[in-house]
Amino acid sequence: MTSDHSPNEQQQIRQQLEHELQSIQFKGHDHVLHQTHPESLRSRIHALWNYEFDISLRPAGIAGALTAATFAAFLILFNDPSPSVQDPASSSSSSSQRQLIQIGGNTYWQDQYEQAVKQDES
Amino acid sequence: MRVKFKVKHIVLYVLLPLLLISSTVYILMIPQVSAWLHGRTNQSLAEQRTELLEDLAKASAPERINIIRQKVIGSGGSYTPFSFDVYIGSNSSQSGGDSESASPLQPAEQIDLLNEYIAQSTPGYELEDASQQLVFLYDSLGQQQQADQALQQAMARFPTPSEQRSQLAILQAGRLLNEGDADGAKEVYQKIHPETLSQNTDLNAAYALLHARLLYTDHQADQALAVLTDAIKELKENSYSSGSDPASSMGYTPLTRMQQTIQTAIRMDEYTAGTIQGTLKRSDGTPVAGAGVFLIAEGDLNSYSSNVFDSGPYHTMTDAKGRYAFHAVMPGFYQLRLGLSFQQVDGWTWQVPADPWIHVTKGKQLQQNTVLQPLIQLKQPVNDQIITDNQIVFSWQPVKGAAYYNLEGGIQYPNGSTRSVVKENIRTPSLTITAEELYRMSMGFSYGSSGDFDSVVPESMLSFMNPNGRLSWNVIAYDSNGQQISQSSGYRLTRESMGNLPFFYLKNRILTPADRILLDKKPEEALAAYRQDVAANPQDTHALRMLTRLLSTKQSIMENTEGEAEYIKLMQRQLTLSPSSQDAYTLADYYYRQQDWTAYNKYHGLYLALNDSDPSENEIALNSYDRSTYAVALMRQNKLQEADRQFKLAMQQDPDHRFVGSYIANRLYMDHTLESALALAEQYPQHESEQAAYFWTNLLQDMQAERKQYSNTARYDQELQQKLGWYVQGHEDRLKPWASQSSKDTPIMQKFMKALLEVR
Repeated sequence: MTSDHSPNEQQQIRQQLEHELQSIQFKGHDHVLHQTHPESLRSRIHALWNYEFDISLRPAGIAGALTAATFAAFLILFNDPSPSVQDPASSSSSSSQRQLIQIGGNTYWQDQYEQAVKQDES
Repeated sequence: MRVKFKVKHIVLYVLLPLLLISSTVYILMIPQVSAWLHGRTNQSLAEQRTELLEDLAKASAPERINIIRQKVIGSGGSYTPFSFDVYIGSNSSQSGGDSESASPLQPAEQIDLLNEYIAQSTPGYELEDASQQLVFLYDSLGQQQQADQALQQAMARFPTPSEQRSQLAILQAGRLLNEGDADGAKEVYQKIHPETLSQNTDLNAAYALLHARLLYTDHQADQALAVLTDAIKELKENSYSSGSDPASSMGYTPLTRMQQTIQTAIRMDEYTAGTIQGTLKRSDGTPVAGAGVFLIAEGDLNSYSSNVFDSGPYHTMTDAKGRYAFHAVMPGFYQLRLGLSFQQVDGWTWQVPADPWIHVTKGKQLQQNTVLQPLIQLKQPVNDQIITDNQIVFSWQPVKGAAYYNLEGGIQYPNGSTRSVVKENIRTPSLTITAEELYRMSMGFSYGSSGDFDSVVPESMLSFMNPNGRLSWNVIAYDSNGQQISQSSGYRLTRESMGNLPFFYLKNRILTPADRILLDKKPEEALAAYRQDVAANPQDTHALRMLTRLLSTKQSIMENTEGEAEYIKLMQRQLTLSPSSQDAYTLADYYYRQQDWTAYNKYHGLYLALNDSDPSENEIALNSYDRSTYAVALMRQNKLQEADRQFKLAMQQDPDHRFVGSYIANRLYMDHTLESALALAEQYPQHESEQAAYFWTNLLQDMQAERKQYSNTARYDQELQQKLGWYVQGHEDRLKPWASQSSKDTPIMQKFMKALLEVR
């Protein structure tokens, strides 16, 4: 086709073509879909593996902040600041190297003394 | 702005690294794994024991011997027999170590394994180590007979002439001698082959020491002395030929000490060894078995090491009934020292007798029973209690048989602490005092280096006046004879024995600006600030108190007497504003040194009045040192009779008889006879590290001899009275040059005067 057809002619040709194609219907949707969205496990994983996220940074920032806050709250709520209390009897037999401390005229095992002081503070 | 990323990117760059990190951390946190990584250092004693026993069960016979050598006997020098966790003696209570280092095995298991090793291993140094450990273990269980048998068996494993056999024989003979079996000891001694010892100087010294003791026990003191003299000579020659200092050799000191002991014994006409025996029990009657008991001669007391070799030949362990005995003890003065395990000492204390000296003389058998007392429990204020009241009520558990208590207060500062007596002679198990009384007390000051006033520790200056300072207290109980019964300070190593913590805070005052400057470590500026405060308000007792404290501390640290006049004037004003016995004592002491007797009498009288005590009424009101200086002050004022009386009281209070020289001089000046002075010297031997106990006795005996040889005894007596007069009246400036003159024909009299000038 050359470009020397007048716009009038083009109009005529288009109408004729539409008329001729009226009876032809496209039935390959499924096939095409199958090709674009494969259903084998491998290709599914492949699809998942290559799944692309597209996120706006603004909501992402909010979500990140929320996550951080939740995490911090979790730490504060569930982390006991005092170390687990040891039974002195078991600790005396479990540690072979305890240190003595001389304070206030007395001699104590350092771990036991520190524990007692902590108890008095609370 | 938008970002695009794929799932695979998140997985590869975020999740995977996170997983790796967290799993690594987790593995490291598992104790077993971390123990495996760190070479099992955190394994508990119980685990070590189980593992060791399992290893031994699996091993073949030769492997077992190897394991015992490595794990039970330990490698060279790691084990010292006769070492204890805690040593308690009159001038020391020291810890053998400040950490727990026990064997994982039970004593009975150790004994079995050591016996196996001795029976089956090839003879060598480890076998000798093993037998020494075994003897110690048996002794610590109170099984002395088994110990002797084990030693016998171990000796039989070595060939007859061998160094190890000789060493074990010396150990055995020493044990027999201490147990009172002198004949048995002699028999063992005679079988030793001295030629096997030639290479080992320490062993040679031990051999000579044993020989000398055996000879002395056999009433051959002169031969014993000859043996020691030869051994010392040989040791010196050996040391010089190898280019070393003989004194650095371990055997040197014991030899020379024994030499001196026997020399003194011969001079004092003593030819028989004595015996000391006793028991070690708790106050409820339970015997303390397996405790170390050391009998330490006067000359060895100041050696700080608790090493067996430094503490002389007399050491033993209590048997199952807590009994101990020392036989073949040389004449002389001794003190007991105990060696205890942490378990034995925990919650208990041993109060050394008020007169700790044991005098072994004329072969007497002495009984010395020793009792451990439970520590006193404190009631209040304790456990870091905060006190804001003007009054502090101290209370503690009463002690049975206690006539009175002394209460001590302490302050803790960043790098240390000090303690000082707050109140003496408390008749009830409680004491109520005002905060002001505590504020008045000055403690020993603490500082970095002399010449640097800035290095003074501010907390030690403020003492009880620092509301942020952690304060501590403790009590000591005495019976009616002034003998200590028990105390609150000691080893508190279990929950039960720990009791209340002896700490409290006194938050009854607010820091002044000058206090803050001081706490800021600017003592010079603080001094100026306190001075300003005093100028602004002469009634400001706090500023005055701090000013005098800082002035006297500055003098001590700077080692000069600059500003002393100002200090004394301020002290006098302070004493008027807020009378305290401590300040009165400070002034009395100042005028004592100035020999200003009018002022001294005034402040000493004030001190006694403030201390609610009268020196003639209550014999424990003045401590022995204060009473001695009081007696000297009386002597200087020519009140000789009263001085004599006070000296006598001081001698009864002070087992060391520190001022016996002045007592002798006072008596000699009064009575004019050397005989009565000599009687005093014999009755009150002076125990001082530098001199032997018989120092004054020997000196006076020598003086008697000098007087006899002197051409004109009347002139000798005249000379003696004149020089004594100088001493008695305090004319040391005249006495000193005369005493140090050479070419005098009375060298002993000069030596006597020189010794008098040293009494203080």
